[in-house]
Amino acid sequence: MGPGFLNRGFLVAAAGLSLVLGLALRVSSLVAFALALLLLVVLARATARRRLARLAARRSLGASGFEGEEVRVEIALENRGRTPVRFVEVLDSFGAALAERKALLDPGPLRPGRRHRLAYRTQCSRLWGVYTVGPLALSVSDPLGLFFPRCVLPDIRPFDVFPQVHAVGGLERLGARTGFTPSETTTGRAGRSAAYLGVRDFRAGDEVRRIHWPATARCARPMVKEFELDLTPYFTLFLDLGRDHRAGTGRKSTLEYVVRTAASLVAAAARRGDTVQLFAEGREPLALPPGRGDLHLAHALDRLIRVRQGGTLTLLDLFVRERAAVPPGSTAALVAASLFVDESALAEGFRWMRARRVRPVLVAVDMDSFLPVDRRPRPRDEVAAQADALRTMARAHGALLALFDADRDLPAELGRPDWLEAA
Amino acid sequence: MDSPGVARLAAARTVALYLLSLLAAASADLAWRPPDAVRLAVRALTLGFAAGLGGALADSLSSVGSGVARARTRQILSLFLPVPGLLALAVVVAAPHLAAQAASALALVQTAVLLLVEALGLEILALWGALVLTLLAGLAGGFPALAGLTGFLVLAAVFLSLDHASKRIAAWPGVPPPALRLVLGDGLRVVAIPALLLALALLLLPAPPTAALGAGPSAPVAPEVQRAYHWLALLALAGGGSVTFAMRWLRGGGSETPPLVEPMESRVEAEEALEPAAPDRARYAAARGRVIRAYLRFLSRARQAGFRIERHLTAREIQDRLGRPGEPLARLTDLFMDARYGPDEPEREAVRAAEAASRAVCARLRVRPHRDRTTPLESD
Repeated sequence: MGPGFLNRGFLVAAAGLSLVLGLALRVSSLVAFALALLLLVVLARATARRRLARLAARRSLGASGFEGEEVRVEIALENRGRTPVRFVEVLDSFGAALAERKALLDPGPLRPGRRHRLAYRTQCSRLWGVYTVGPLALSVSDPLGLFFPRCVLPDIRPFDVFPQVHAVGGLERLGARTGFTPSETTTGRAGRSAAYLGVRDFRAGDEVRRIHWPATARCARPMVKEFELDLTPYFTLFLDLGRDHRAGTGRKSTLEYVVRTAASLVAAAARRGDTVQLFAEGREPLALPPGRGDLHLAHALDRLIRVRQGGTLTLLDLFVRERAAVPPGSTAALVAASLFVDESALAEGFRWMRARRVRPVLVAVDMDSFLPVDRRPRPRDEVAAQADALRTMARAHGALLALFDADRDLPAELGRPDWLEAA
Repeated sequence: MDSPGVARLAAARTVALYLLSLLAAASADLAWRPPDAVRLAVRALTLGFAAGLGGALADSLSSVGSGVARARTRQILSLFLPVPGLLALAVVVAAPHLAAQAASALALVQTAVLLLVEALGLEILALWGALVLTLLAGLAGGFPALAGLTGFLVLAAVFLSLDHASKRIAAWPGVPPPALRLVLGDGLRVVAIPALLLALALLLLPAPPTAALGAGPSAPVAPEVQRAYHWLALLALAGGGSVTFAMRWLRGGGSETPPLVEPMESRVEAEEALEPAAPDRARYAAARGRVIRAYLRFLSRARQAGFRIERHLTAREIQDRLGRPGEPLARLTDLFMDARYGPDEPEREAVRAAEAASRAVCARLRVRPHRDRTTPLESD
């Protein structure tokens, strides 16, 4: 039974009774009374509909938020009619909150040609992912509260909820250069930054696109442009999104651990000023080009929340395919969803990184500690032996290693200053 | 504790209900009895006392019994309290001489209902009681009918608007209540036309023949027919009961859970004037658009006249293809090119000249759609 139904029903029933009595007993005053009651109901309905037709609403909010973050949603309510309106009810859907529907009331009077700005605050209570906001529904009644027509505005938009990024301890082990101030991002040595250093003679191996043609013409020999050395730390992340490594559900799943770890690492690196790039091969390939700053971080998180564990490429095959993008002297982290990686390929990868002065980091999630999805978990002895093998290999190649399992609290583990050596 | 605005709304709502009950009871009394000031005063006092005591009763009963018990009591009363009204109507129709007693009895019932209105939420029953009393007055006709019927319409509308505002405010505790006069004004605006028309109709229409009440067909009914009527009534009651139970059962078994709606704190953060309605943002501004539209009219006319004007042709090529009428066409082409590609908005004279040239060219082009031509149909 909708609002106003009882009063509306009473007036119509009263009109019906009066009409029947009036017609049966030939009492014209009762017939007139019945018609007046019906006219009142009709006028009330027309008033409510007219009011609603002249109303418009717009919503404005950011495109994303973090888990648990409070989000402010602003709604602009406009009256384009000729009469003031009271008690406009606005019903908005915010998919990332626990109570999906949010109801607001503009007590009014919303005068003609005016706009009221209403706002509500809600929390992103659900887990990371892409949710929808909207549609927006408006409802207004006639002055007697008999009719409550409602219109639904098709204002539906996606809203990204990013995983809560946790503080990552031991940042200095990931290539941070704490000895430089943030402004010193380049130095006056030849390098690959965007800062121009000068012109020099062409040497074998120089890129042809760097030839400085005016200088070449002046000097009658090939000259190339030289740029300053880039001191900005460079962080490359490789994610394991193989379908074979699916295990667990909800907060206790390998996907959750991999994505949360990746988000925390990317956020820590980006906020420190690193240039960050990201590679993964899930259901769809993910290649985030290198970039810096908050916008880049938002872009990275936006891509991360859309990944699915549906890939067929192994983490080390992905690394081999994309390793050309890892610059010398940078940090490269491999986030594996299983401890059981191809050891020979991993050793080869570590060797390649060490040869180029790349700092190797391996974060491995023990998928066998999670609830199995489509395969039986391995015996714990086998898992322990594999963990030992990974530790030995990491130690042998100077790689930093972290091992996670379902029993450990991920935020607490990431926050430990020695989390990369604890394994 | 309620804010003064909310308390004022609630008090006005109670007063409206009291006035509605008083008007209905008084008009029914006056319609069927000779006027007696003392009796009317006693009735007004009784109803007023019930209305006033109702609020206090609601406060004291608020802690008695559970919400479910109150809802059940409300349901039972909603089923049984309308019956006296229906009986009274039937009695008055069948035996008009009992109308005065019926009106008095209904007034007493109305007093009891007013006493319980706030505690049990029986507003609709109070309206029903007032309606029946008003109908009794309407059956008698005359001035009490006019006052009773018109007053019921106005006061019912006022009560409903106050009730609506009160309930809205109660559902949104943080919302500031609207001013009483604004709520009353809104309600009265809606009811003004029906009330005026009703008053006019009651003034113009003849008074009902009161004597005709109870003088219906009195032919004796055969016992078989009476039995049939009894069975019919019994069947109607049983059917109604079955349908009610079936509906309740079906409704209880519904699996659809209502969406979780969270009422948010509602506050108007800012009020702004709307920007004036944006002018039709056509592709070109006003003066430029007029010149271009004049040229497009000419193009359309030329096509109707049978010229093949491909999309890749420039304005000059079109001019060359048509050739005549030379002077207005050349002028229209120049003005169009200035308006379309030039940096400045055309002057008013240029707009007028383009429109005149377009009219002149169109006038010389005779429509002949079935033939493609490369020369004008009419020589200059």
